[in-house]
Amino acid sequence: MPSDTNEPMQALLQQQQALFKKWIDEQTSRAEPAKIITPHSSRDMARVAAILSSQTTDFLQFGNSILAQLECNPLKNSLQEPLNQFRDFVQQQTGEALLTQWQLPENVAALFRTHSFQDDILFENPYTSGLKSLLNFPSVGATHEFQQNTRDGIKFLLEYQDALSEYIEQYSQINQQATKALMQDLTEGSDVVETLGQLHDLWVNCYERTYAECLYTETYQKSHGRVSNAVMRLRKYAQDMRDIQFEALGLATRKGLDTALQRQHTLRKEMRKINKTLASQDTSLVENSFEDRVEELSSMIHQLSAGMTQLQQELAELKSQTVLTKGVIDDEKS
Amino acid sequence: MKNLKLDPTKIEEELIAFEHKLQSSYETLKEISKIDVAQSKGVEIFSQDKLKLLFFSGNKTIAKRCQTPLLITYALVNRWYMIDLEPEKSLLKALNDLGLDVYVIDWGYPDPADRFLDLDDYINEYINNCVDKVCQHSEAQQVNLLGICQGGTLSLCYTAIYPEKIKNLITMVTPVDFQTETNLLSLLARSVDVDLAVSTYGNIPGEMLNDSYNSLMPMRLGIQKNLGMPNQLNTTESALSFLRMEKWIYDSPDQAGEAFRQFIKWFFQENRLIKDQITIGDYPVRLSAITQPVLNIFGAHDHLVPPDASLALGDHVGSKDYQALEIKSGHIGVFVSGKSQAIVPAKINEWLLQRD
Repeated sequence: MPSDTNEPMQALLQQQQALFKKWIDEQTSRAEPAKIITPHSSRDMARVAAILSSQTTDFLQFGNSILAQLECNPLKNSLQEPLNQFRDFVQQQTGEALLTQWQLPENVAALFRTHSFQDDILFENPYTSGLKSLLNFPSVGATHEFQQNTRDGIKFLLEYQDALSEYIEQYSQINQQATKALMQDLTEGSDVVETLGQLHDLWVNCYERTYAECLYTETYQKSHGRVSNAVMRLRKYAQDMRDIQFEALGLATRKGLDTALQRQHTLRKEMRKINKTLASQDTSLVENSFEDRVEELSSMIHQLSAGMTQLQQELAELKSQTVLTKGVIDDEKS
Repeated sequence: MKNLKLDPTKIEEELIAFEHKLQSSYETLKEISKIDVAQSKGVEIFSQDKLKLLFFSGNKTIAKRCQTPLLITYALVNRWYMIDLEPEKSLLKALNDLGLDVYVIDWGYPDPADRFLDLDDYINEYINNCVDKVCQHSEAQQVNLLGICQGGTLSLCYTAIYPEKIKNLITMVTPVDFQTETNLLSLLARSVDVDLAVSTYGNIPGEMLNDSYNSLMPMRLGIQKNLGMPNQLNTTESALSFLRMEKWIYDSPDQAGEAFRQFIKWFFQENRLIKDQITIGDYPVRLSAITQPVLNIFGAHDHLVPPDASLALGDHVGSKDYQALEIKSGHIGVFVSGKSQAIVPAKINEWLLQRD
């Protein structure tokens, strides 16, 4: 194998990155898309390409680094280092996914931009210590409402930090146990791992197995619920604060809009019920008038029928009288 | 670590091959201009608010056709075209080819104005209106109802309330007992403050629900799937197939807040359906009121609606003609896998014909 494998690999990597970047730019810059390309499909493609680009770039970079490591150590007497690299690589990716899921409301997140979520300083720094100390002061005076809101905000923020810290702890344990399971499979399992793909697949299996076991524990479920609720409470708090500002400026608030929508919905339901009642009444009115008419017609038919019978009787009588009269006249003539 | 035998030569080959696949993926993606889904031709016969009722005519040349029309109710999460992703993986097309006239409810995309829509609106108004419109359009007295996933749960509620309108009921991958031990989604949902969620978000973002589903298997559905993407994008055909599924996965409408609140609380957190404790609008929902024939189709490897969550239906419906059909696949595989394509449409048609 050539000693400078690293160079062509780096070149390939750069070429691939450049290609994807170019393509993503092409896709996203189509402000006036061509006839057959819808804006939706353009965005879909860009998304797919972006995922491909970032994730596979990471994979190639990692692969490249492992390769360099193995080349420097041709005796292969220490695979611990590449394995550690691999573990760090996948854990970093899990961490990123985690952050996306539990991200803070934008304005609150800005306070922490400079810190890593793995960093202890996030959970106990001078800023949060200051906030905690503020909670010790009672809210008094003309601005007590504002003070109370601020205190609530601090409480929610601290709860979020605690909840996230607890959740990250759960994740760290999953990572540790998954790594342990990986080592066990590599030592005691039956399959030999020769490529990065095989190593990756084995890791995924170990991770999912450990993760699923953890998901079934009450501790994880509670921790998951706690961090979900903490993120939502902070987000809601930010919205409520925005509403207070909007109200002060005479602007429409989310709360006001919700009230209007709820009333409109209640009215719509009432209208639907009334319409249904009216429709059933209309039907019964139609049915009633129809029945009356039938009865009226029946009675008319009955009367007509009686009249007909009477007429027929009268006619028969007249006929018999006519016959008698005719007989008398004939007798008189003869 | 006796099994770890990383070989530099093999790794180099692997990385170069991977790089080539990436290049090829790039070329394939450039060839695709449109991700086309829902290719069956349908006609819109009714609309109300965001809802549309679509009609797909069955093959009229089939000698023995089911006379009762089939109405399909999909879940409120994700979009109905899962049953018509592409012609080769289309439950809808297969049913039409067998001669069935099919009507599909497209729920649309709720926006903030729909925030207070509740289950009463969805069941007693929307589904009920659709059933009436189907009867009117097809000149039938009753319909066959097929509910998918959450749509199946809604169909159960509807049939229990309006049994006289439904001739036969089919449920597919439908949760009934929401608190079985293997139901991970339910275990996680129980600790979430749903009132807070609705008051925070109004309508619940579809993206958030997607994250919840993906978080059940984060590695497999995240990193592993993404790394395997170059294999899927190898040819235009396989790439399109993959992209159609991706499009469907990420096409997740927001959930009307009030309906979401009721669904999570009543079904997931309190498991009221099997306890006869649900009232939708003014109507109590009793599964024992469902006496018409019921076909319950479930996925043996479904991780979202585990088999026992679906199979509980058999213990609660009043029907004496109840059948369960196991398909050896996952939640989505029931609709798109090759195996299920060969079994499910034919079974549905046969079952309906026998009860037409």
